[in-house]
Amino acid sequence: MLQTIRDKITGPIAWVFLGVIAIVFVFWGIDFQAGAVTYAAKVNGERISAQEVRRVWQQQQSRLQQMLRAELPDELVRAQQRAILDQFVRETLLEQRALDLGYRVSDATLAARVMSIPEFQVEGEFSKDRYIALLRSNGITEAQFEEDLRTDTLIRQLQSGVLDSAFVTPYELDRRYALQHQEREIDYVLIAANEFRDQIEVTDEDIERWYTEHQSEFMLPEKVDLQYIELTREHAAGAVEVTEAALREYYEQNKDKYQTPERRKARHILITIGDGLDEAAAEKKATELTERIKGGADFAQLAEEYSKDPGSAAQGGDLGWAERGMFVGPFEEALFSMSPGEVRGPVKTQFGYHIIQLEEIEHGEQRSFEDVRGELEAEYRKEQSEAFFYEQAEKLGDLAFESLTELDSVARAMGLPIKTATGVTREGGGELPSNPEIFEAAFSDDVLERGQNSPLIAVDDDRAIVLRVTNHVPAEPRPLAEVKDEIVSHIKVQRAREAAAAQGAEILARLQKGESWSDIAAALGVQPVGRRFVNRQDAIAPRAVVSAVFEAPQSEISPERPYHGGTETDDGNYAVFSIMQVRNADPSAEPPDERSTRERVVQQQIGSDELTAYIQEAERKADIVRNERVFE
Amino acid sequence: MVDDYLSDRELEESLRNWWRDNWRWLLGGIVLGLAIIAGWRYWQVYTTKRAEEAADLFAEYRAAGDDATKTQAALERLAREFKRSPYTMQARLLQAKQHVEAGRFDEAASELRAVIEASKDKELAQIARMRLARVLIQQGKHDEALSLLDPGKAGAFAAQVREVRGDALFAKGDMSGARAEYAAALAANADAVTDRTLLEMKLQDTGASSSEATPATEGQP
Repeated sequence: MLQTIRDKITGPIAWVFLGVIAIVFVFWGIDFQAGAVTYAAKVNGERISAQEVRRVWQQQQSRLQQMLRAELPDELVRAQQRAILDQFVRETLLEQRALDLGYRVSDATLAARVMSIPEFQVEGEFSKDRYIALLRSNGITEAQFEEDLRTDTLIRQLQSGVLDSAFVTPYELDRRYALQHQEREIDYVLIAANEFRDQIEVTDEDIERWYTEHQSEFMLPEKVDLQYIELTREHAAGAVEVTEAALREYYEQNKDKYQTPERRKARHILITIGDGLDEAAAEKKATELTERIKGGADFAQLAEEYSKDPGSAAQGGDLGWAERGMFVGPFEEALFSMSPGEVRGPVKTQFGYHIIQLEEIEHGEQRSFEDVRGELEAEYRKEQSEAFFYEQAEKLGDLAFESLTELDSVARAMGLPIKTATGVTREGGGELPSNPEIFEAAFSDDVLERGQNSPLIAVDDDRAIVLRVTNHVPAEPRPLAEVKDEIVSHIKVQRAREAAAAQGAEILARLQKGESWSDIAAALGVQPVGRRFVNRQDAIAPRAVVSAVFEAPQSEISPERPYHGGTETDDGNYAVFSIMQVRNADPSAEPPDERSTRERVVQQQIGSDELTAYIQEAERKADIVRNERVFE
Repeated sequence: MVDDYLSDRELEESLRNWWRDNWRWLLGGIVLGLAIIAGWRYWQVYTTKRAEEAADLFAEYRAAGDDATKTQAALERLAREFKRSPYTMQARLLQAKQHVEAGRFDEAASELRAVIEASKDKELAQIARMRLARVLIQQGKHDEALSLLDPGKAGAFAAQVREVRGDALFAKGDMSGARAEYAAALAANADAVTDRTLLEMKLQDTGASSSEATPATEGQP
């Protein structure tokens, strides 16, 4: 069998075969992670890192939490996560498209954009120091920032290709104007429901029927009276004893908190992978440079010549003073394990290979016990009260559980008073803090039906309570006598509206039979307001009338055969209207400056609609796989 | 199976033979592989360089501002040297806008046609097609505008394509045709039409009865 294979692996075919395999490995490598889903999404085969997406989500989450100061609702969480993932997918897709189509951002363009960003300027001039400092304080390297900015520029180019060139033709502008400022000549009569009100007789039967039919509207909510015991953090903090010895011990334990951080001053050279250097070549080059420096070559000079770190190369690789937490992991580890004057390299990070030279160390300083005593005591109290608070809260919960159906013994054991709240509904009320968990607990089966003590409820970080129900008033309808007046008024309003609508219908029917407004006015004693032209923005006629007038089909309107219609208005009256004619606006009446403003606005709107469709179509055609579980 | 028990000498001998027979193929394969890699790298560097040159020319085009003769000159250079570059497409689209604003509709149409023909970006070509149709409506060439836009293939552009077709039919006087297109536009992709009110007005303007446009109000005939 082996022989057969060996026999076959000769000759040109074998070489072609091996060649293909080799090429596959050269270009794509071996995917060691095949199988496990580690991506957030795949866009035409390109993976979006799950880690990166989660990182952005975490930032957003803490921003939202700060803003809302509460637990984020599930819906908001899902919508936000979805939006973040969509954003990543969209950016990846547009970047791919831009590159495929032949958009490129040259270094010069990129540099110009960096320099134009106001945050990096000092007195209107780009400042390299500020640029580097600002990126460092945000924990981004120049290389990474520039890469992100390049991508952003690329996508903007693609988008502005659609947005900036959008236009609107004069014909379209005219037509929009004619339609938007269209006028219709109308007459209408407003039938006030109020006028029918006094004629309406409401019988006791009517009232009773209404009462039974609408009983759910007259319900008094379910209520409970509560007993509760409340434990607060203040109570706990007051119970903490502070002794000098305990403080000293606390100081010894937390000494490193009271230190100024150590700082180190260093230079580095970065050899990136890419631009003709593969990983091995980059490492070799870095090793070579390290040897040269150890052999006496000038670090700064080599940095200027070879370093690919755009932020520091020109300064001879100088990174200035840095504390822990300012550089990526491997770099920091190396830097903070070196001694002054030492040169180390190559150190591999996500950016490539670094050669590092440590120049100076400024050791952190210890602050004395006396210096920090105030801070220390506050911290100690806080920590101790926290522990004490949790301990007491736990005890409160346990005792309440043990005594099962009464709180008196619990209050005595805890040395806390029993408080009461009456008339508490499911929506809250009373002097209790408005925390939904409290009301949920109070109306739970165990507490409400079985009369048990509630479990411990954490109201917020500083407060915990247990409660029990002492009295339960089920939901019940308010007595008829109490709501009678309300019902009478409801019935009157409804019937008055019906009467107004009925009269409206009669007028409308007469109009449609061909009777004139003046005949109808004479017969029914209603007076139309008088003919005039209204536009869509008319503020004198009721809103409902204007919108009904402009919803009427234009083809059914003519001076010979006016269109008649009726509508209830927002305040419950009824209107009957006629439309005699439609007049499209004359665009030449528009002042030129208004027209050109309008032109800009319409252009932008058309451009943005076109871009929306463009992106949607691109997404429709792309092969996008979302990892639905990326946030789990 | 005898093969598995070859002596060292025999093995050495067979390896030599094999080498003699195959060294040319081996060497050829390596040379070919290197050539492919080198060619690939060169191609990448070359395309990037070309794209950046086109981008620079486009920057010059943009710097020319509203001066029609200057922009025309810059556009011609771009078009000559980078016929199918996306930057040429962008310059043409901008030039078309300038023409429309100055009332030169024939010129605008010819730039848009060039984009439709040369753009590698099919979606951008679709946008150019819709714009061209709108310029043609401006010029009264309604049938030509209609023939450009196939709503069946419009994808996410469906709403816009329907609206432009409706405009063309309306301008032509075909009210029932326009009505159908506007109604279809309202039913299509809602995200890509911000101004639905305008679309509804256009629909009413074709004499559509209100059941086609908006919910009926009470008491209508």
